[in-house]
Amino acid sequence: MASNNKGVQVIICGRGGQGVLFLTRILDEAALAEGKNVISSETHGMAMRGGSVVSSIRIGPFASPLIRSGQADIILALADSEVERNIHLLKKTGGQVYVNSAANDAGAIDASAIAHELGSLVVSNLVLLGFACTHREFPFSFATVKKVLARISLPKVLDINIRALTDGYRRAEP
Amino acid sequence: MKRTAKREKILLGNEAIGRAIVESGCTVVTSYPGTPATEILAAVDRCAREGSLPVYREWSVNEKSAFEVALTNSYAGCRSAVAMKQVGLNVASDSLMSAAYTGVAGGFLLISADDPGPHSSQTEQDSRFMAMFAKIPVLDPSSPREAYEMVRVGLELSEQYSLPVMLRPTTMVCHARQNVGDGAAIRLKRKAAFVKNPSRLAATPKFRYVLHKELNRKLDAISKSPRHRPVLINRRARASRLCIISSGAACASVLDLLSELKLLEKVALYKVAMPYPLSPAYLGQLAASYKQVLVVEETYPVIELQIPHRRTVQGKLNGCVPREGELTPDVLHPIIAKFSGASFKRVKVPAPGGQRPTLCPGCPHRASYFAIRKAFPRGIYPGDIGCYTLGINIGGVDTCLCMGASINQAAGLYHSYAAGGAALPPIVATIGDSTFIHSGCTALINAVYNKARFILIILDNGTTAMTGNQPTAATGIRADGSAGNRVSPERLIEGMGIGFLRVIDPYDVQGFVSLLHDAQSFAGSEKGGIAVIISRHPCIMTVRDGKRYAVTVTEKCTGCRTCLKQFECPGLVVGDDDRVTINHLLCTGCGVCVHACPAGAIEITG
Repeated sequence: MASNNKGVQVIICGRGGQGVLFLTRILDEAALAEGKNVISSETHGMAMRGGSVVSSIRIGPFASPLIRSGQADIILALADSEVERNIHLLKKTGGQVYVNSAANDAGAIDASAIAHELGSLVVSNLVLLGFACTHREFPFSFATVKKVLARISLPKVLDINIRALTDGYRRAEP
Repeated sequence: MKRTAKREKILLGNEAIGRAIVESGCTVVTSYPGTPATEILAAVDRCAREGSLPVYREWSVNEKSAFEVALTNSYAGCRSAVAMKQVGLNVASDSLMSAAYTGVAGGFLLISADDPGPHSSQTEQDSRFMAMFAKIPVLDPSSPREAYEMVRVGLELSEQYSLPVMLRPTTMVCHARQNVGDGAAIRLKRKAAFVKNPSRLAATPKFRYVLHKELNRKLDAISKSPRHRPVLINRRARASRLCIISSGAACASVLDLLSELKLLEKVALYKVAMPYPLSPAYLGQLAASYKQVLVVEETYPVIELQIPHRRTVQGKLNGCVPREGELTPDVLHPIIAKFSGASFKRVKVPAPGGQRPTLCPGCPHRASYFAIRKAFPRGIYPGDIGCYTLGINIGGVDTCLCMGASINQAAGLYHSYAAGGAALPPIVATIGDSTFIHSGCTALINAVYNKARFILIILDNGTTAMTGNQPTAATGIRADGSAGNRVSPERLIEGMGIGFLRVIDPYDVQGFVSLLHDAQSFAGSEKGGIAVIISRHPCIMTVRDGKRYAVTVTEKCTGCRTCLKQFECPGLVVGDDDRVTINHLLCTGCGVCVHACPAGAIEITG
């Protein structure tokens, strides 16, 4: 776990409708479950109509939810195309990017394809989150995230949500 | 950092505000939806429901109605709150200016949510300036947790001095989430008791002078009270030479930057909870105790202007702090580094951009604008505020001034062309159903009365879609989910004496185009008048059980991209062979795009 007394700063980016907000909520609740202070920001309004959307989450002793350039520990990108717009926020050394992409790169997973196989494109965000949980640098364990997801999911999507998270986690394992 | 033992919840800033409103014993809470303030009333509803508390909550038809309904509950001795976005306060400003003079009996909290950036608004106006203009106190929270506490503080202040108090959160507070302690609701057990006092509540100009004098005395007393004075955050920097005075979300970023840059012992940070009214004497003394002072606030220099001598003061007035835009950490970093003499490396921040927002796949508005463009390629299109402002992407919106302006602007265009004798082009105004009821219907009365001629299309998707599908008066569903009386747009329009009124489903593109020509014959004729078309199809975010077609793009596609430019549906994308193809994951099967291909390559196959 990358958590230290300076805190962890996470950027989640994507397009309106891809579930950036839901991932933000999960990480907020995970921080609370572990007894940490958390403050995050999210996009509402017009940008939600398919436009670029970005959330920032800061876990630790922070007053503002906003992340300065070069300070983010982690970027979770739900669309390949949104990485470029936000990469300047990432730490020059030690920053991690986890991206929903068909490319065969480290940190990439084809979350959309996996979600499509599961029969629901909207859960690609959770596939990506499951994948992120396999990394040592990610601030939360798979178990913590799964517990939070089980608690905040609506009953009718609980099953598919957990399956998406688990699939993302398992696919990444060697 | 471990949280305190108290039970905590993750709350959106607006949820924290809504919760605190209910917990502080407000019995009437009103609002009109507007980003970033919308979620406040939903939180009030949820919280009142959870606690089975007697809180009346209403989605009003506009901010003026919302303000006056809530205010009057405070006249009757009970606590009230009204929530709106900053430009909504322009609509309610007539009421606000006067309410400052009349004062209140029960606590009255006005929440006006500002939008520095702007992210979702037509201006970056500062509601704290509006509070100063109206002469009421304003509280400026820097986080959801502070917003939660300030609701109670504001209501107490309002009752102590018998005057309206404003809470001014910004987008970064409204839409921030934070762990916030759980409070308990107080039960005031007050019953409405309106005490007649016409010399105050119906004051004539002579008495208004007296009330103004009283208001000024109240403000003097509040500004002199030590309770709401600026507070030194980092006591160890008290004796330093440098001082930053800041408020709101910007203050949170300043604090984080001072901490990160290890300046907490070098620069004294004063947080201003109440930016107006401040005591000029206190501010003068504060500024004089430091060699240099920097004022950081969003978006107008409200605190800065109240400092009496500004020789050592830097801020927006001397151009040190930008006068427009959000004060993000990236904007503030070089300013604070320079002010404190710290070194910094400029980081290259890419220009804003990215994917522009667009109407959803299957959105009925897209079909309406496509038909309008097809019928009158050379028309003029006054537009309005809502999702459908995005009709600008496909050339269907030429103006967007403020709520309800489309109809007045269509009338203005008519009178402008008619006065000079210029050939009258087709004028097609578009306005949403919620915006029509908000302020469009009075504009239509004015246009009818003064014999304007144009086509008005009411884009009726049965909801306030842009802000997250709040109900409208036309649906007859109220804020607490109960049934209200349905206000029929048709009967309203008929009642105005409009001679041409038709209703159509915009998915019927050909029918719509031919109806538009009929409407233009009416509006274009000197014997005619305003032609109103209600374009009615439910928002796809609310109803998804319509007929679905299987749509394909055939070999006939020439790759001309006319459909992408004139229709701009996210479901139509360019494939590997440079031809257009359907993204079936996004396509809703509305079938409207078959009309968008000049080569007839888009076909319904089932």
